[in-house]
Amino acid sequence: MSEYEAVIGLEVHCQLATRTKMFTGATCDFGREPNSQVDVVTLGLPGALPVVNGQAVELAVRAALSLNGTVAEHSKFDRKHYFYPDLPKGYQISQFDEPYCTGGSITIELEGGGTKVIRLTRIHMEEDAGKLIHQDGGKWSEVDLNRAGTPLIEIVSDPDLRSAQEAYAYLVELKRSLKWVGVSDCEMQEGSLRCDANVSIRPVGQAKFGTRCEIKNLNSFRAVEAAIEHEIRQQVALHKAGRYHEVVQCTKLWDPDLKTTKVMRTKENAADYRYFPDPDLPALVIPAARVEAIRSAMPELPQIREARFQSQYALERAAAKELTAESPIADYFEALIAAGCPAKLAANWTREEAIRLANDQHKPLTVAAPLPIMAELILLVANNKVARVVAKAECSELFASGQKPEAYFTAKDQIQVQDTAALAALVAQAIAQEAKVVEDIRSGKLSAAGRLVGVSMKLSGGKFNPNDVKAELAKQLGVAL
Amino acid sequence: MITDDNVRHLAKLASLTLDAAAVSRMRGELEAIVGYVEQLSQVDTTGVEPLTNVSGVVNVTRTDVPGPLIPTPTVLALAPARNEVAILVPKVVER
Amino acid sequence: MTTALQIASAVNAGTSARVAVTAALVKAKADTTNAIIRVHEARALAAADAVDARIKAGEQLPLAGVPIAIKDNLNLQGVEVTACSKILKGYIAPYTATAVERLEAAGAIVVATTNMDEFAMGSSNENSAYGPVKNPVDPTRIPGGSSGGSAAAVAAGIVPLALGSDTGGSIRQPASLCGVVGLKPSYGTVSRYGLIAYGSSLDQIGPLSTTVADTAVALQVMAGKDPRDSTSADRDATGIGSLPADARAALKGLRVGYVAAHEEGLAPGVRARLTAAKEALTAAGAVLVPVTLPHERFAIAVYYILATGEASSNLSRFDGIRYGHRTDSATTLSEVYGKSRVEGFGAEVQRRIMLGTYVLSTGYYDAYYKKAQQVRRKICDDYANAFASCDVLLGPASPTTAFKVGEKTSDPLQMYLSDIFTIATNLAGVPGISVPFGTDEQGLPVGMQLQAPIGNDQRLLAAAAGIEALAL
Repeated sequence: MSEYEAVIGLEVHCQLATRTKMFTGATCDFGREPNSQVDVVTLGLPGALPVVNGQAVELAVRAALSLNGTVAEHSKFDRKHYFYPDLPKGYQISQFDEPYCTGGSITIELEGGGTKVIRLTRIHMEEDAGKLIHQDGGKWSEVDLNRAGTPLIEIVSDPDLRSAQEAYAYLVELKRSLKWVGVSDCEMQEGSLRCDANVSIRPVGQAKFGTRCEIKNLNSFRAVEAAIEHEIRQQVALHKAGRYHEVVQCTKLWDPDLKTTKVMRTKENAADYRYFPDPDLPALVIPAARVEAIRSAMPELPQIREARFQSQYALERAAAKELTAESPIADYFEALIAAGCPAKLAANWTREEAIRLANDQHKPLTVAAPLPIMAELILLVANNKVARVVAKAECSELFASGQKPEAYFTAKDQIQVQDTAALAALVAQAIAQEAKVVEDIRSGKLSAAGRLVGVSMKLSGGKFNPNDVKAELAKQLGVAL
Repeated sequence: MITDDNVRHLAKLASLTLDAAAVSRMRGELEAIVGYVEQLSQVDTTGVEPLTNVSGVVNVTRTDVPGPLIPTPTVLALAPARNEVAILVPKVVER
Repeated sequence: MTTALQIASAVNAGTSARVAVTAALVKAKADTTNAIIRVHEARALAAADAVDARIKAGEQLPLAGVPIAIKDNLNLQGVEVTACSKILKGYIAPYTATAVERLEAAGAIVVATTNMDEFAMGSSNENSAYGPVKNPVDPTRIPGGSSGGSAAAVAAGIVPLALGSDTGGSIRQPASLCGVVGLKPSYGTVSRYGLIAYGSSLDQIGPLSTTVADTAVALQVMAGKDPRDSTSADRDATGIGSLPADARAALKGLRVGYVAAHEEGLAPGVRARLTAAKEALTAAGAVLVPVTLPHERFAIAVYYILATGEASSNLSRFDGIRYGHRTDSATTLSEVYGKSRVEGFGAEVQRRIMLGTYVLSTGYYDAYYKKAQQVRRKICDDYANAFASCDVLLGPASPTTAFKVGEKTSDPLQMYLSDIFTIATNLAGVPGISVPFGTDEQGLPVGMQLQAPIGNDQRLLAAAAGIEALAL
């Protein structure tokens, strides 16, 4: 493979999280009864007219800003013509030569370390088609127009990706950005995110691009990765065998079960879409002032927040990245800090415990692990009032109980004590009990100290901080431990 | 010059099943009309912005609030072929 | 002939709406011109009762109890709407066009649907799936098109007011040929929501009636921004239908522009009436101003590129899938499309779809569609220049009076050329009206067309009322 280079571009369609459709007031919820979200415009009735959903434009601009794109002051809508049962008007309203956004970029982390900037060509707005459901064994297909007219943005990358893994990372980062600013849920399973991949290969060093093939029907990020991997291997094999001419520009469908592709159509059958400006829709003007207003109303972008977590809280990159995977997580983490928790502990407890509880219960973080309780818990550990191991062990039960942590651990007699006199007495007792162990320690077996610490802890019912116990032990035995 | 092939191609784009006689007739008619509209090439339009709409409005939008729907039974009743939940078409080979 | 205003006055004063509606229903059912293709008896009588109830409750309605007919390209909830095409056979509209809704809210009552050229494509109403319409003045002649049915219905006295649509002259030309008043408002003045689209950047709905006063009231009721139509203009419609108290006196000092070239190629009878109109205007104190519209000679070419391009797109939705006619001889999907459309669309419609597809297709778009849009802008500029030196434009609505049935059907291009005086109006979006101004030597009606700058419909109606007064 190293003699060859893969060249990959991705086209991602993302449904905007609006209540109603792009050009009419029918709702566009997922999973409703077939043909229950249809109105005059959706059905493409004679005399129907489109009206732009202002909220869709707002979200589209947010998407552009979150991806570093340039929002055009003037853009327009065009009609794209083809006949298909899921396309009621016989044309799709899209944007052809004047999209609302050009340029942009997504920065991905490479597997071997380092980052890479993937450039975007453009983003444009358009409406979704309905669904065609093929009956098994029957002679009919069913048309469901619920989805027809749902607002979409199409995000087109430059062919900057060089591996299936990079493509995967691109999609993860794209989803993080779009979900962060409330543009979309980006759920491939629910169809709010769809991806087509354009793949070609060329010998390393060749400037000219090879013949590219488009792959569709990719239903998950992993499927995208697998399909691209498969296509690269196929194209390389053909090139090596001197059969590269068999690689023709075409569209293939990915079969997730068989893990292969099959050709759907070749370029000769490509349609003439007869694009022209939609005479029913006036131009879209988005002045710079409006773009700035939208930008300033947006939350701090995940990439910025991730970098700030590293610098402001001295967190490792991996931790910062996990804490900025989604904005509720980042908010939760910083709320803990605002409540007085030390950053490292807040990070650890958010990543390990809060997220686990939320995932187990399928509930939001603040519901599964309410902030006041988590903050109090972390502070108990920070102040040595509860041993860290104890806190971790009791975590799930604590939150299930609904009790406040101080009360909970007091009832369980697990609050660590700071009484030095009691500690001294206990340690003395342990030393008296374990003469053999003491002898081992004095004769140089320092590891045996662990057993004495354990015994002391047991005598104390776990109420002393193990580090304090060890220090007292060392003091009484006169040995450095 | 419009050929029969041109006409057949257009008919395909426009989803009109024309028989040979119709193709031939259409060819002559289109050629005459296109010949007539060719005169526009005489007009100097250097630097002239194409006009898409005369009403002079921009940025017409609506708020993201649900509007009236057509009830499902009415949607289906309009269709030439239907079952209880969907509009039916002859089975489609995947696009 | 009773006018709409006379009927409204009576109903507002307590006469039952059923009186005029029943009379109209009788005439509609007895129609021999084929102007009427559907009568809505039960619906109309129920609507009449509803109007009576509103009047009893103390309301006063601008068009109380006025029976109207609407062109078959206007959606009316619960009735069959077909654009006189076989492809929409059986389509029962689930909603009503905004313009019709507003008229009904103002007390008007839809009694019938009128015949038209299929999908509004035609100038003689000979392209209808329901058969041709006869001109009531002379049944061997056509009424004009595409709103031939609406013009004939008013001319035959079936209803005092009818709705038509105008994309290149389809209200004004039949109005002229039938001897009634026909108005195409400024583009964007009347909502297109619910009008089956032909040329989206050109279409307007408008009234046909026997008087300018009736026309003005109808426009006042229908005009104004509609949030459901994005091309609906921001223009304030207050007073748009207010006519001057003394229409003739209001002509004094009015600068009436005319294009000398418009006198060429006119039938003698039409030229005579045009001359008479100019003389009468001058006598009434109006000032005739020669103007030019240098690019008007390209208007037909521009129109037949833009309108057919837009139409080929607008008519893509008629595919046999969700409503209307579906062929019963298809086994594959592509047969459903190809056969349904060829069975459903008439010859003229198929021709325009093909032409429209051609001008939008890759490789031809720049030379045809884009070029036509550029020339269109030049035509708009011509109008702006002309209106710098005059208040309204005067000219004939049609080069001839009503021609014989079948006279122009053998050559589509010949038929297109008869739109020569009305087409530029739609390209510029300006309002235009045809007002009856006498007859030719055979007694066939001649209409004078007036145009005004875009958004100046009130000024246009005032001038029209003046011309009407001069014609009497």
